[in-house]
Amino acid sequence: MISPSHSGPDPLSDADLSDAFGFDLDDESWVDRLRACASAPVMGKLGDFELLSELGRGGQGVVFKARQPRTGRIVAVKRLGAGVFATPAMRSRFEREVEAAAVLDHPNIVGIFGTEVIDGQPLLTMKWIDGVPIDRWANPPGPSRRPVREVLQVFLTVCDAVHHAHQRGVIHRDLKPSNILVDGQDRPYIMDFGLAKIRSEAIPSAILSQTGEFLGTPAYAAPEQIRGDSRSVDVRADVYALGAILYQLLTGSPPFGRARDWPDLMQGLSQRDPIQPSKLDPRLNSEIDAILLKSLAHDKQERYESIDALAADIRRYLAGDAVSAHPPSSAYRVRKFIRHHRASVMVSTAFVFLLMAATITSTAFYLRSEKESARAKREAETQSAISQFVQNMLHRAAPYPLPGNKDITVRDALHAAALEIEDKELQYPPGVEAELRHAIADTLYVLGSIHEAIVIEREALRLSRIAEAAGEPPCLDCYSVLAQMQKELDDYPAAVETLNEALAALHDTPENPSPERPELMRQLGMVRWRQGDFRASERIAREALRLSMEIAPDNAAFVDTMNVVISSLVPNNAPDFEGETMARKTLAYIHGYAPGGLDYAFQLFWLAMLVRERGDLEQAEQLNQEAIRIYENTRGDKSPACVAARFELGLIRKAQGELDEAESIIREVIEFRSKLLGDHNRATIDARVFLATVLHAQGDYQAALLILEEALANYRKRFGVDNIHTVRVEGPLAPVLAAVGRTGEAEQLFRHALAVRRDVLGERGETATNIHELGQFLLDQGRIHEAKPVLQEALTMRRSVRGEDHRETTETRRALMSIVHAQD
Amino acid sequence: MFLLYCPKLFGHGKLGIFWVRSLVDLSNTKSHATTNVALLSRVRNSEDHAAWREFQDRYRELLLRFCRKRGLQHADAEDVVQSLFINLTKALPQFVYDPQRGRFRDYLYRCTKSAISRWSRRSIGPFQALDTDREHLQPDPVDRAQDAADAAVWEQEWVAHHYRLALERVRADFDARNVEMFERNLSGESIAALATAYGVNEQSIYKARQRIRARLQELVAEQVREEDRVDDQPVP
Repeated sequence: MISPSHSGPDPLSDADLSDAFGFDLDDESWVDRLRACASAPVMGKLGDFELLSELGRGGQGVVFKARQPRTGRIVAVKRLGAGVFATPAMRSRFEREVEAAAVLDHPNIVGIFGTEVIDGQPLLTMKWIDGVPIDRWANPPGPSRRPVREVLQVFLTVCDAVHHAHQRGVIHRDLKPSNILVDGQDRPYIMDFGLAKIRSEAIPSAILSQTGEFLGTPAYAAPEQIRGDSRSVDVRADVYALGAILYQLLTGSPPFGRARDWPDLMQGLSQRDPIQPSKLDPRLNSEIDAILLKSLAHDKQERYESIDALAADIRRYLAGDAVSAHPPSSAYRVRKFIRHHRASVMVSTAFVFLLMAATITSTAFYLRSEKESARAKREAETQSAISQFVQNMLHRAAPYPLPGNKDITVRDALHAAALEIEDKELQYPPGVEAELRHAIADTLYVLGSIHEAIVIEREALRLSRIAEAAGEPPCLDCYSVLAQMQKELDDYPAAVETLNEALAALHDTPENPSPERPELMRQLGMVRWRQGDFRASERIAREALRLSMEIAPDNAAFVDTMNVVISSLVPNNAPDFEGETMARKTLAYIHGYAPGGLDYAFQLFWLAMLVRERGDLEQAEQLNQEAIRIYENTRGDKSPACVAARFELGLIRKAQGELDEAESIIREVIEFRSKLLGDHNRATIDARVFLATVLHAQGDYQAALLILEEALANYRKRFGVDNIHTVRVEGPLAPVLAAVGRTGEAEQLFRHALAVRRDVLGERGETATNIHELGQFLLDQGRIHEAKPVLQEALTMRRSVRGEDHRETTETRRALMSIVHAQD
Repeated sequence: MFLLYCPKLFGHGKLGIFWVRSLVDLSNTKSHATTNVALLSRVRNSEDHAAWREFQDRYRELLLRFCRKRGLQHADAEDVVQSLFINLTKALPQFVYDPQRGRFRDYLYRCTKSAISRWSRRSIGPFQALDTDREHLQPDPVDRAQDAADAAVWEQEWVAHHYRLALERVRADFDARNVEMFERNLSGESIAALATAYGVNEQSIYKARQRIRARLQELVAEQVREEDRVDDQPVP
């Protein structure tokens, strides 16, 4: 015999064990022994009630099947916690609640016979129901499941009963499957109306949290109940609970899974939506989804306003009629979508724009002349088309994430939606559809999916041409953005063609120029600049500027046009720093109407570049950092604009001599651009070329050479041998060649680049640098006689272009002085 | 690891401490939703409500039956067990180990006894005075005879508890028909009647029963050893 008071933890010997458990008994005796262990516990009596068995155990107490000896009636007796009667006030409260529940006379509500207090404990006597909890009824163990219709029919009865109670002012507040029993004839019975209210007030919360039991099952409680906001608990809490129960009946588990506890809940409910029921069970369809979604809406405003409404929708479903549960309002959807999909700000901003049916390109084509009523009409139609489209897209995409993909991005949703409308016949006129597709393409472009975007934009343009043929106004945004994308993909001839087509589509005259003309011209100017034809770009840009001043001096096109002019001046580095002055003026102008916006950021970036060229690195850094900051906050750090600004930072760092940092910055830029635009895109190669200059400065000649030779080959093919862009790769390449001893090739490149520069740029800082580098090269070769005149020319030009005190001027002066000393 | 703390039960101010490793290896048990290993170490974490519920489900019957046999009405037994569980939730997370103190079942026995004592001395209501720190729980010295009787009852119930647990687990180890036959035999049907009902010969039923018995005994032994295991390592 083992004595429990035996101290010391000796392990039980086998003998002890056998003894205690009867291992050595013969079979029959042993079975007797076992029988004694396994028998049901003696239940005893509770007051007069003879307890027969325990029916269940729940948050409030235990329920027994009992017999009333006087009448022989079988009843259910629920023993409630004594805390319910802690004060006289609570006791009378309890009695009132029970009374209210007791008068709920409905065949499917379990009748309460009365309350008693026995030995200080409150008991509730109820009708005994021989049934099973409804979840077990709907999904009995084993493979069979009850048919959906049957479940819904019974559920409707439950709804009627709950609604009956609501109409009499009794909210259940604790509906769950164990509170709904179904008998052998498939009749449901609901228990415990109103008691939840008493319970939660009666029992001290310390005990609640400790035992856990008293809190009941969280899986069916509405969010506002869980938050403990008892004042905002109304009939819709029961709607939620019934929705959760129906969800479980149809899919087999509650909406958020079984293993739920209060802390999880507080987390989970605020962020997730349940898995679409139709995904969990093939018998269910999207109408059931809609009904359940509406019942389980996190925000009670979005739920059915009453059980009756829920029941009505279920009836409609059963009758084959359309269900009324429609997607919630789009404002709610947008909020929810953004909340759920935690995408970067860039995405949600773009999305908001899309929703507002505004295009994301420059404001140039924003509706200006109210006189154009056809255009105004089209704008209105487009807006509604886009809203509709977006709503459908949102409905499809949210709240259910795509399988296997937790965070659906706007881009994915757009892409999926765009694919869907590919082949469809939309009912909109071609002009509106063009705008719609354009909006999609534009958003995708902003998000970085340029290749998909360009396909969709071309389609938009095709539709626009059809519209124009029918006399409708053209979709100018389509042209503009398409040209922009073509430019970015380095297809300059195509961009020029698109823009010229757009200009032709304006059908305006020199006497009466269209307000859209300056903008298109500005774009054309930019493309020319890209092609290396700076004179043409300056000419076009100045014309655009003049026109825009004439047409509408205060419109936003002014800013962009200015920038084109400036940009055409930059390579020229006009001596009076006209470029920088203009840039500052523009910055101030923008600051006047939209400080901190994207235009402002771009202008900062632009100015930073000019300031850097001038040599004021500190200021350049300041300006640039502010631009980066704005871009990061609005477009996200992965947007092309931000990347460009970071490139500029890299240039600044190199100028400051911080080579390591410059290197790491530029490598990041290369990675982004390579991913976004491809390895052979001009922007990517430009970044690589800059990396090569950094590597050169660090002494890594081989690596620099590799990059530059490849870039040169690419640009020669792409731009031609005598193009300024090609020459700009020759520039950095030549000194590297010289450093590794390939001096013949180096000299060739120096001279060739210089020739092109003289031709294209004339007397400018860049040309002067080229001259200086040639001079320095000759000096390093020991060809002092040749070097001297070259350097002298460099000095003259630099003095004139840069100024006496510029570091470049000083640099050339020093080089000349070293010759003088050498000759002395 | 699972640590128990049973303060003030030994008459002096020192804290009594235990180490118990996972009380029952539940890996064979079929229907529990929670992971089955080391239930008691999970219960030590007061946030793990699922483990806690499981712990209560597991031990409730043992405790109830003991209380009933000690003469309490069912309703009172319910109250005592309830307050005992509440106590344990507070006490469990802070346990430290002392190998001198004995086994988990001894500890549980002592806690149950003290819960009953408390209840019998209650002045206000069953949910009052749960703060164990403020209590002096001296076993009444004169009640040694009662003690011995209680100990015997406790052991009986403890054995029954283990068999009940093992019965639940054994179902997973045999095919449903054999289990059914065994259970029917257990509830009183004779082997002969079962042989007729299932259309098999009695010998095969005896044999099946023997195999189930052997398995049950194995399970029980395993359960008890698990319960008694002592571990040196401190709780992380």
